[in-house]
Amino acid sequence: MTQQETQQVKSQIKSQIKSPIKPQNIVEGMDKHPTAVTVSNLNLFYGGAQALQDVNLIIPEKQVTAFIGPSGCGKSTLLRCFNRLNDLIDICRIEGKIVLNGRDIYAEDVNVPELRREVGIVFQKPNPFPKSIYENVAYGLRIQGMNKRRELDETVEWALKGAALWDEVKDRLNDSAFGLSGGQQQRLIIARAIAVQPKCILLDEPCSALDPISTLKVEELINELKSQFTIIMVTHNMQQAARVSDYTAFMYMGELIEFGATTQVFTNPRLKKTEDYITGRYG
Amino acid sequence: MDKLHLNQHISRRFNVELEDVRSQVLQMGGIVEEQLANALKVLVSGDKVLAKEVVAADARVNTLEVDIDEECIRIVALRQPAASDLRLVMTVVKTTNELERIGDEAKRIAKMSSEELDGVLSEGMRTELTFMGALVRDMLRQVLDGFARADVETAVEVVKSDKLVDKRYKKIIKQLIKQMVADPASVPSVINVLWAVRSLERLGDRCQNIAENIIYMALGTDIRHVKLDDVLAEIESQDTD
Repeated sequence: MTQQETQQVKSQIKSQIKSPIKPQNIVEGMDKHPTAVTVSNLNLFYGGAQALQDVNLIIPEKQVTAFIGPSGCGKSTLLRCFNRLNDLIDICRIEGKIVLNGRDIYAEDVNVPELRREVGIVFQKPNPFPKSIYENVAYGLRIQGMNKRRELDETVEWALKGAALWDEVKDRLNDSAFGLSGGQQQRLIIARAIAVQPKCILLDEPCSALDPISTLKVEELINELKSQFTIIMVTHNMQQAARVSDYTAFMYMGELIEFGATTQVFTNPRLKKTEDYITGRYG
Repeated sequence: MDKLHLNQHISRRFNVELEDVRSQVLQMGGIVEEQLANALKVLVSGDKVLAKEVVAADARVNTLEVDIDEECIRIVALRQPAASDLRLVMTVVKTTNELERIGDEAKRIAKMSSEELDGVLSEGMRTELTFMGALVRDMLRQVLDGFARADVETAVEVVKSDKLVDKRYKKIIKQLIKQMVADPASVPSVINVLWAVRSLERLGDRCQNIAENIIYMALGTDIRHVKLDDVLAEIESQDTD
């Protein structure tokens, strides 16, 4: 073989090796899961400042999708779009589409309170109502029109079990929610969210204010909940995103840079920007 | 190792840790290279003194393997490396294991060859063994160079070279078998040579394994068990068509 032929062979092998064995124009595993949410050409402005730039994304159903990125990149802003919480900000303006279960949630005829039942949110700081543990969970059910005691009892128990909190509170359901620890309060909030049978749960840095053991318990809970609900979470903790999520979206300065299976993003990201961020070469 | 941007982490201590572990692998590689070079001299000369030096060097190789493994465990536990950093650490762990085995094979070659060979090696056979030994030495040198530079092309060359080593091995084995059939009295000595040649062939395989690890480290693609040989053969046949 001549040197030129050898070079040609090497280049061909290199291009073959660089294209992974499985095609990467399909995000690995995405074809196995139905779509829960589709984001198309989403742009968001706070007054004159653009916070989200042309975001296109597909969130798979009943999987955990994590948004990671440096502070101020638009992760929480994007998260709040999914239940129109940004509507509460006067200067916020949105262009583009978010489709949930075949319906554009920004269409004019959307019932926003109903949307927020379907898409629950849990914030960084637990925010229980100044009520009993029982009433915190029952509140949303009562608003929906559930008033039969037995039905409420069963649903509250179901939700607290689903949030892995029942055993710890079953004997003190009438105690104030403020008497719970931080981790317990956060799980109570999750119980409150799942009690009304959402389709999707948004978690905005749910463990940031919790101790390591509570964090692990909430992470275990997230893993169990995904069998029933689509979960989208924002986290600053990359190791948490790696542990908990099935898919990871990396954002930077309002743009979605890379989206893929968590294993792929954390072992072999496609883009240098993603690689630099997750390896701590910049932040 | 600019290709992996080892020195660009925000944590300078992490830069140092990765650079240190990489350097230790190259240090280990250097010792193994010298071991192999000496073992190949023993193969054709039967020099017992040199054989003892090869055996003694193995202790240093083993110690380095343990030290590097411990450092890698520490890095994984404390730094939780991701992406290219994780692939580097995994490659280091696997490469040190292969290097340690290469050291063992070199030791075996030296031991077998320093046994009394009763002049069983013809001039032609010495030439064959020298050539095969040179091939394997080149593979080891190339693969260590490839590791140092995270160079895929060099790694691919090493994978290709192993086919040449395998061909030489088969040729030598046939010749040795003929020799044993022709001269049964030479069998005990020739068997020692057989074991040594087998070790050389295994050395080539280990270098190939390291080359595959380098490709994984650089590109994030695992080509083990993907029969790169078949890919190479297919591409070569397409070129000749």
